[in-house]
Amino acid sequence: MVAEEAQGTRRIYRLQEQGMQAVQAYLEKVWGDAAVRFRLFAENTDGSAKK
Amino acid sequence: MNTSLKMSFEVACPAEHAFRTWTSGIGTWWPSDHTVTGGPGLEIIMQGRVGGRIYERTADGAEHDWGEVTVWGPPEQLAYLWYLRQDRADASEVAVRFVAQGATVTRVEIEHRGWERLGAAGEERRARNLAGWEALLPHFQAAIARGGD
Repeated sequence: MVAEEAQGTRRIYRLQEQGMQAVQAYLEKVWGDAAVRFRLFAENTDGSAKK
Repeated sequence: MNTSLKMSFEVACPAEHAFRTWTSGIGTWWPSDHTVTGGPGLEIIMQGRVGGRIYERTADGAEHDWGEVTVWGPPEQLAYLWYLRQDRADASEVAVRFVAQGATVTRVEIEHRGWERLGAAGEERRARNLAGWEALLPHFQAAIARGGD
């Protein structure tokens, strides 16, 4: 998942594109799930009620 | 690299209620499989002030911090550091805006910034971060396998 590259005396590590895409897809899934559940609860609770 | 993930949607309620549900009501809707422990009896708490903690408390009283409130502007805006299953030093940032579209509809705009910070710091932390992400990926893959929902 990590690419390594020498740059002078430093070594640069970075996530390979595929790894980044997997992380992004994971976050999109998390937020998608969260958004669906948020809407469900927000729309089915009383706006004046303390939940 | 400056990674930012944005999404938005509308919800049929006033902005005040959307903000309150997002914050004090986070335990009602945040998916329990996206927590540290995911156990039964889990409580999720967001303290309503700048500097407030976002954390989960398990049934046996153990607490796991996930984040910290950085902007508290009810009912329009909210931002917090996010480090669920990460070191706090590698926090990403979540910003949420609640834009009233009339009295009964609110547009929710989410931006999750800086999640590429994975791997940005020292070698040891980098290794720990990668372990953290690798622990997350099976959840992602399981979610994909469930599909279509």
